[in-house]
Amino acid sequence: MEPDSQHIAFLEMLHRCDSTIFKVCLMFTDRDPENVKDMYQDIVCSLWESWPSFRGQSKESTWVYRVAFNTAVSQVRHRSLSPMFTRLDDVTYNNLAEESQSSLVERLYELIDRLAPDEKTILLLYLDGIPAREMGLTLGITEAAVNHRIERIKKRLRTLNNS
Amino acid sequence: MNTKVNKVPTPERATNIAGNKPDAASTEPRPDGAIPNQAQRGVSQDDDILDELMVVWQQHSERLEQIARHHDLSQIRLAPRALVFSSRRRSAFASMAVAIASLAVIAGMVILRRQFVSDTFDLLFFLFLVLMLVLVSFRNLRQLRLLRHPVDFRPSTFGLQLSRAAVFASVVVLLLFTALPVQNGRSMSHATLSQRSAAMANVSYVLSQI
Repeated sequence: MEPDSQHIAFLEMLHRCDSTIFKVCLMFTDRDPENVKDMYQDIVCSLWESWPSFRGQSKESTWVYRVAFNTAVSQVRHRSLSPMFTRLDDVTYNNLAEESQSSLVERLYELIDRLAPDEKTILLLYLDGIPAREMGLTLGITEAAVNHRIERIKKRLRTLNNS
Repeated sequence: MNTKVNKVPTPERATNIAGNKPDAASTEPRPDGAIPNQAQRGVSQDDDILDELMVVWQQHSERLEQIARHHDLSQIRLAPRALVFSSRRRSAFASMAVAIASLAVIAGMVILRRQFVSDTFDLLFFLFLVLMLVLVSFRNLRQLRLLRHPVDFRPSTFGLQLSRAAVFASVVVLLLFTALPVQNGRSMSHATLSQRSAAMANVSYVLSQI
């Protein structure tokens, strides 16, 4: 069956935001191949489920972050929908695995693994250069709460890095 | 406080953090595995650990972007929209049905409690409330996001609110029946049978007037 216009538009969006999804998958899993592929599938399925409700009221990246984080944190499972054809292919996974095994990146993820899920979401947005106001819109919290949590995360990372 | 756009280190900024081009030794991890801080690379100690992580992250992001550009998405086959829609409707319907049924049972039992004063009835009521909370926890309390704003990609916000209401109603009724003080000032768990019956009859009356 030929893909319809919604399919095409969705895949174009996916292409633009693929790296964001990779980051969430690497940050919220232990980088085990099956877990990364499962997480990628779950996020893509969540995005596809909520695609009709995205009407451009927020930025595309904000919407993708929000759906990806909620999928990762709540561990929503979508096994019944497209069980095989939304999984990450082996070639792409191998490239991701090779990249995440470089020494500094590996150490970075070791630190990140010790943070709580809520801290990881804030850290990822901060490292991606998202302004605090937009972080607040993405996470449904105030800008002041965002800044407070960033300060807390800094202290925690400093402690973890020196321990 | 971060009230401005976060500065994303450009390759030039990352290069200049140490004052000159970093050689391999300056960016290699310490023997203990920690990310070398800027003091150890001969720069100011005032710089933030997040700034240091951002340098590593930016390079990592650029490589992830390259991988994403080469990711072949043409093999992805998405579920037909009709299937997705019916799946969401089923999930929303089931969630709402359970929540409505639970609230109706709680309301009915509170009203009937005034007619049936017995430990058996009370026990069944408690068991029902506990069972409902256990079922909810199996559905993952995180999905209900009890204390947070529901996100817009949930299948049905109304269903979500109903489920939340059912959970809160259960907890409130359980607390009322368990912790409500009786006439001698002690809690329900220490009360005699007749004292408990009298207190619960009063609670049922109060709740039925709401």
